[in-house]
Amino acid sequence: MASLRDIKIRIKSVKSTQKITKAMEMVAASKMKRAQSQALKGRPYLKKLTEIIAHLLYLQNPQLKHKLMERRDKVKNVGYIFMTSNRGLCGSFNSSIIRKMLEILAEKNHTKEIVISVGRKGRQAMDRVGKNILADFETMSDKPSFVDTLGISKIIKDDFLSGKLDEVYVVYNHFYSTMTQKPEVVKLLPLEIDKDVLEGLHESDYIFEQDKEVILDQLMDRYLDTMVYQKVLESVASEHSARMMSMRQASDNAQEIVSHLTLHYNKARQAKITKEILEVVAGS
Amino acid sequence: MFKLTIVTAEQAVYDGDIEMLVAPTPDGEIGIMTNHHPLVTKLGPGAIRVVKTDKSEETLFTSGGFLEVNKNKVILLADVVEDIEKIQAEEAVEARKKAQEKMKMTTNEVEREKLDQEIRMLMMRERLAQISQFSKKK
Repeated sequence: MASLRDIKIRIKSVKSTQKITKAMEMVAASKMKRAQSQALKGRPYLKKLTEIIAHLLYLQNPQLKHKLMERRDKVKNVGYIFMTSNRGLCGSFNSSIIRKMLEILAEKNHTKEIVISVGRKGRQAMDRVGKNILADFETMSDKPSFVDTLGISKIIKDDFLSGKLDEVYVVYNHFYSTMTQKPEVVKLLPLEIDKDVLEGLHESDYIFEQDKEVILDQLMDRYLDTMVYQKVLESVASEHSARMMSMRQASDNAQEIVSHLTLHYNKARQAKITKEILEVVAGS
Repeated sequence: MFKLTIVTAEQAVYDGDIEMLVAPTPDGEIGIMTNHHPLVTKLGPGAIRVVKTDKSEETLFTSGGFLEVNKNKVILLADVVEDIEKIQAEEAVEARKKAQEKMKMTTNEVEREKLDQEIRMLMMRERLAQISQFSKKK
């Protein structure tokens, strides 16, 4: 059995680790709150935007087409926006999304995959498997603003229109709740506008102040920007939630170890006292 | 009376029943009142004026966006919205000067086109901030 002093030192070190994980849990919790509300606040804008676009696309006569919706017959180059975090200590947040990405890369379906990484962990994982990266957005902050994400959507838009990319997907952790976040792959380009949002909307005889094509063009641009922004927000909210949960787990584990060690310590102390009394009694 | 919703990609700005809305379009201004015909338009940089049901007014600055009117439901999708009273005139001047400095350094045609738009937007912002400050002094 370890000596009393050894046990005492261990208890102390576990306790100080617990203090750190507790502090990290608090920090992650406050960041999580902000990121979650930011992710939720963005949703109405996207919904309204989709409604207006769907209106223009499906209820107009003749139907409008847009170049960002063009489906290519031969899909050769596929782009993936790969969202991870910059820092670790967030449970399975990064490992599960990296596994998903590697699965996609391992599939052999005669296409060339091109990766755009957001977050340091993802870039490092791509470096390890020797995959080239088209662009890297490591400096995305904890509190991304709309303007911060415009660079990402600009790259995919330009490359899609110039034919360098035929399809673009985003690989990210979708935020469901504080407890659950799931890795997901969502198609960004060519854009697909859901017809479902039209339910409840009715055809009306719109006045268009500008050319329909001009309005649609700008709406589509904005739609793509907003999609990318929304995915970044989801990923950030998931990251902080995952970190908070794993830090809470770590604090709980530390607490368990401390109580276990304290029991040991008390047992050892009792044994020592008993031994000393026996020695005194035997000596007299 | 009709329902107005102003949202940006980052937050919901306004949601409620109002009497009249005046919004800036690229070709001028457009006023919306109850039972307006369905309409879709782009918005230019400028002031959004909201007249509420109790006749009080609120003025906001927007850099641009879209407006949809349908059956007494008005949706305003804005890129950026700021409360005019909260814009500092000095800061607005600074921002405009900075953009103009950048303009002098840039030679790329596409970049210049974008900067030109940004400067026009910032000039509008500056002017509105000054007007708001001036009217407050009185």
